[in-house]
Amino acid sequence: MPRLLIDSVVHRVSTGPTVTFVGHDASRTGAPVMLCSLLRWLQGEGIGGVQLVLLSGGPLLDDYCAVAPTQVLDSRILAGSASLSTVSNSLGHLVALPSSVLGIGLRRVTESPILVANTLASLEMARLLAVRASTNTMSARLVCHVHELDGVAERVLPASRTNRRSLLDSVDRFVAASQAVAEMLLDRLGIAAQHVTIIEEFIEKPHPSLQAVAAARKQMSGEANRPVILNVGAMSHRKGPERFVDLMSTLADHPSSPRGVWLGGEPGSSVWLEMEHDLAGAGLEDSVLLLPNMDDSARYLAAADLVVSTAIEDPYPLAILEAGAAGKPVVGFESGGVGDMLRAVGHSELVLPIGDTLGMSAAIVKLLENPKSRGLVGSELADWVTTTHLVEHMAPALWKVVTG
Amino acid sequence: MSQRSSQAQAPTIWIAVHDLSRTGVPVLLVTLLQAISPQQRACVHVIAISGGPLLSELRSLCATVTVVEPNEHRSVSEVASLGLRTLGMASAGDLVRHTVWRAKLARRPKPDVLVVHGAGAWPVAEVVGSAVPVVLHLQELDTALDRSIPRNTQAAAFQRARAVIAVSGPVAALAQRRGAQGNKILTIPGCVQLLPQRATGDSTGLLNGSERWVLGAGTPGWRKGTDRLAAVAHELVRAKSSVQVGWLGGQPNGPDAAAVGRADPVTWIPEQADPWPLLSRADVFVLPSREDPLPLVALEAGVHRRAVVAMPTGGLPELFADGRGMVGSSQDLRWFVGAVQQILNSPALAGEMGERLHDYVRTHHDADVIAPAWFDVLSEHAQG
Repeated sequence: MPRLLIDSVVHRVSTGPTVTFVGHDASRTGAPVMLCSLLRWLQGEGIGGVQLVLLSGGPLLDDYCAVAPTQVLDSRILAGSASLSTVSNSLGHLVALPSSVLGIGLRRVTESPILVANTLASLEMARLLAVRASTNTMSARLVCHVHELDGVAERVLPASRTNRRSLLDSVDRFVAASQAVAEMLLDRLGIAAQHVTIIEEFIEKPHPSLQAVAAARKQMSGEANRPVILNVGAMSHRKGPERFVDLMSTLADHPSSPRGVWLGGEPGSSVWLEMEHDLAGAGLEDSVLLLPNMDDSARYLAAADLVVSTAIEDPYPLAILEAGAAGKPVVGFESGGVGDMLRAVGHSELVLPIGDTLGMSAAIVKLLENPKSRGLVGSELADWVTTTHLVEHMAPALWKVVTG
Repeated sequence: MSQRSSQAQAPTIWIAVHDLSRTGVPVLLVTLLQAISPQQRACVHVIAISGGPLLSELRSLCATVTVVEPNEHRSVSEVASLGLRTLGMASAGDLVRHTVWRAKLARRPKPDVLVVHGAGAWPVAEVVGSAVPVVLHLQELDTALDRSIPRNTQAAAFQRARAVIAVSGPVAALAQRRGAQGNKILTIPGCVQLLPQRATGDSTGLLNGSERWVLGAGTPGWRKGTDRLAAVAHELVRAKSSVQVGWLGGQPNGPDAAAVGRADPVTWIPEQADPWPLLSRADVFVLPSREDPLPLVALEAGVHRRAVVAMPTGGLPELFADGRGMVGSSQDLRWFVGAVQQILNSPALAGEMGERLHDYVRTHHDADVIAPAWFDVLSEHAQG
């Protein structure tokens, strides 16, 4: 691949990193996973000079450490400030520690001229680092990679309109993870179009072993080898777990006795308990399996018959890209990127308006009853994902935008 | 006995309520207070954790109303308390909250009994001395109870309560499962005022005149199952029906808020002080709830002779049994949508259901009968 101008700069710099990525955590969720893919690609391409700063840790931390110098800001002041900001934001108060106090926790972070907030949630910290770098050495470039849509953006951005405007105005370049994200930035957050670049999400091609897939199939489908309808996602209302239960209630009488599987979530969390409550109320305890967060969702995706997205807000879900890469047909609500993906392969009939659960059920029944059609949709998705949305297709463009 | 000495012996009853919003729990309190005598109301002091639109009405119905937290935003002390909890200093957080609340309540006459009206008000019990008898008026099912009183402290809470009043049979069964002794539990069902039926019609003009409507009401969210309205609306469109679907109680918040307006087929109607001029336009009244002990709006639908389709939760299967409404045997969305269509297609069936429900509510949920019994229980447990 052609080298970018910045690459030579990065290689020449020996005193410190050129690009600092700032992530909100190391959870196995969309934005952190995609950043990890990008960092792994940079490492593979021999591009150095990057470091990663995380506001908190998580199960991806070891993966991050393997591909880039990584530090978790574990300062109690920072943690306290983040918690207080969250609380005060949710309560409509404007309680925040001054940046000079926050700066105490940032002393260990090596300065760099380019700061990349990997989400809107980490933008505040990235800006603090950019301000610090600008003051002491040079004018730092601040890039914000936006993986959120309105509901999450509203929650993580400052509640005060003034503070929100100030934060967004400090960004030199926004990278939007999908068309829907770009529309939010332009239409609802007032960002000028020339500051926004759309780079859709991408994945590393999954390679689950045959044994792992077979084990996942057995776990999900049971001895009776019932068809598996899989939904992968953090168990939050944004992903529509209650709609998934309703969907499965409409399929309970289907002659094929499909098994619904929800992969993702923490047993005992409030939404997990709600979902258990819903399953009991619908009499679906034997028809729906709840699986907690897993390191490797690819083997479950490869073992499913159908993948659904009941999300009501999802910019460009990696799980659906992975489902496509595995050749699985997908049905979803019009919640962001799922619609873009299915329309790209000419299957808009598999995109339903948000909340049209019975319409989704009918689309699924058609696929369940027509294996040929299932195979066709799956292979079209596989071709599209593996030729357009793997890390090697998209990461160069993203790196170019980051480095200006 | 002189009037003075009679007043001196009257118990002081504190009734704690989570908030004064126009939702089921606070509205039931207003209904109960309206249906007891002025002398009985004079003993009552309401303690609300936060305020709301029912504040002025309640002030006219009892001796005092104390709101311990501002309604429009959280107080500095509450923010500090929550912040301390978030930082892992729960005891310090509790101390801040309790100190401020106690100071606010110090000016009220000492209670002879504390009635916790809805589990959401249980934090008030934690700032009142342990010698004060507590009556817990439980109006929650599993999920709401767990969010109001942590599961690991529920047994202690039920032990502390001298009596547990449950609004429906399933609520009573839940109380027993969570540690309340059977002999402490009594069921006093929710109730409504059987006022002369008002003239129907939408005085607000929010609903157009000629259209038919499927309507429901309440606070939008998971518990009320408002996400299911879109499923109803889309199916009606597929069936080429012109019937509209609406919900009174405001727009959803949280993640659902972002979906509102994105090709949303549901009309979201703001909360109304008197919702029934609007709701009585319903050709079918829907209760898509996932968890609802005995929603007052279901009883009000009976007052207004509406045909109701409900998901099976709490006391609804009993309320709508014997042809008084349609209630599913499980939380089955396809059944729910089909039942709505069945009633829309049969106005005669709708009329019969409405009449049967009206008769049942009149004979089983009349506030003028239930409220005095409720007050007797409170008085019985008051000290002295």
